[in-house]
Amino acid sequence: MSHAKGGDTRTIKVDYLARVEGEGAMYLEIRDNAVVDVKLKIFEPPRFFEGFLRGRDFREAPDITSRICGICPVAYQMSAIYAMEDACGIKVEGALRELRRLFYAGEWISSHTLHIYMLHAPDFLGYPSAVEMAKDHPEAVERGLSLKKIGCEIMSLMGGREIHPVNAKVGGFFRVPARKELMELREKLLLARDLARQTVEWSATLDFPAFEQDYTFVSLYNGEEYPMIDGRIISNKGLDIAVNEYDQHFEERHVGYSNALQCVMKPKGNCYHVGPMARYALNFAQLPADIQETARAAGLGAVCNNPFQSIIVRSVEVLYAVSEALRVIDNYKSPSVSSIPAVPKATTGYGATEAPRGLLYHRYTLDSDGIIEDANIVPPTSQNQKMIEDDLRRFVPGCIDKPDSEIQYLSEQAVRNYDPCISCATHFLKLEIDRK
Amino acid sequence: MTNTNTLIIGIGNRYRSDDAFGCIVAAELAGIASSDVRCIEHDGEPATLMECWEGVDEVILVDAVSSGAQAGKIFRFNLALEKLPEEFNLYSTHAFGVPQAVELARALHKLPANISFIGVEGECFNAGVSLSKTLLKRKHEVVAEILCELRKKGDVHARVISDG
Repeated sequence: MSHAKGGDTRTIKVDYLARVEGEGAMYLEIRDNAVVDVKLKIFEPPRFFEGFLRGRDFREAPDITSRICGICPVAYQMSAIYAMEDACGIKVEGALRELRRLFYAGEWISSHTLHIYMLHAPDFLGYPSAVEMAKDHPEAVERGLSLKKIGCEIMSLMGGREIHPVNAKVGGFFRVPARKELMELREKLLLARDLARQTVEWSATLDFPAFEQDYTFVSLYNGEEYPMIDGRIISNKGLDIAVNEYDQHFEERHVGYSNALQCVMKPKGNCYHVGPMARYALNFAQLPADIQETARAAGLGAVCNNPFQSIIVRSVEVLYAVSEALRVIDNYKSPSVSSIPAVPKATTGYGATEAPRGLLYHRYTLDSDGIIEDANIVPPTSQNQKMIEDDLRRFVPGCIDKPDSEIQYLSEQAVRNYDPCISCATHFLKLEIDRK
Repeated sequence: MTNTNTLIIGIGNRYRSDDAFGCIVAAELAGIASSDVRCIEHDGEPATLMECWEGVDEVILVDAVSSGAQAGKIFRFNLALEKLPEEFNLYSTHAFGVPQAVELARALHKLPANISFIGVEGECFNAGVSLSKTLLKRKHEVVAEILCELRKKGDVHARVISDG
């Protein structure tokens, strides 16, 4: 970091913001103690996944798109699968659908606990990294590692392997687990449920900056269960649409300073918030009563508008994911088939699921042989980019009198509230504050 | 080393050219050392990596690195005494990879008493299933080096367990 101070102009440059996935930069311009410009610059090269999906067989999309992210490959697989099933006109129900929720729960547990304990908690406790934090808070870090492990075990069992799983397919799975295999997970999940509850209680003891926004939250909703894999897309500001109407209401825009497209709401180009806080706000009623109670005991209402408290919400979602995994296992009856047939036709299919970081939309146009003619993927971080900028624009004035080093620290923390995955959106995040 | 257990962990991705270096070295060592020596392949995910070496007396980590050094350069570190250098931190998901796993284990007093790292600077990390010529050469050297160490300790057989 270099820090030059002279007259009314100050320039602060930070070369590396750690604990986010991907390469990008943050630019803050401050004039007369007012924030006049905020840019989340993503300079990680475009990855062209949509381009090389074209010409591939529709059945290849789940395996190709799972390579987009090592943290949330299940989400990419699932959104691709739901889009392809939409195109084929089939709906997977019953035990196969339940197994998809179990698979997804594993990813939520693994991804969320990585962020809670290894990436985000050090911000609140004043450590530069989880390694430093582990020296003073070994119990917390070990709790996080234990939870992450059970999430990875679910992903390994359901996906064949935890990174870039290979077992999910259009129509179901290549192989479904035997009940005995699931029961082996059950004992571990019972322990994990205690650890997850402790995580909620522990996260609630952290100190949070007083900052709230009137967010437009967007997530899936089906009225019956906390959303993971299907539902309508709703917001707290009146939006209620089918997944295939997404393009009519949302628009990806290119901004010159970023290699990732920014997604905004039509027609005004407003920013919106996807992820744990959005899911929670729009689906609190779908949480089991004991988890609602745990959330309330942690100080949360039915809606959380303080992005710094997203760590508590994320912890509540870990508890939910563990409970949901247990529910699926306890009710599991092995399906008669591991998948149902999927016959492609010349049409466009739409799919959206709830990745750990938020809504993940896929759209594919197929020809009559099931060859992909066009693909569009809108990851959660692309949708949250403008929201992150907006948070900083509103948050920084509240701490404008603080030293630049503290503004930098808090701003980095504000970015990490979103657990941004820049690789998904297009690796380090540089923060630059320009005071004039 | 017949009275202790030894674990060789080849870290990498078999589908990213030179990143497969650790995996290929671990696989080559299969069937050579004693049953006290396990050779596994691992993707480098920290939590499961730490779990792999829990209760193991001696661990050798083998990995390809990308530090900016000349391709083929061999790095050796006694991790019980020293950290992996910062420049090895660049290529991991959420900046949380093998160096962090080692330091986290150290902080949690879960680092094996004997743990070493052999890294070789990679040349090509593009999608692909073949090592570059430079690393192919280094593979023979590193396998020979580890075998030499194991033979000094009396190991003559090994088995491979695929993990990750």
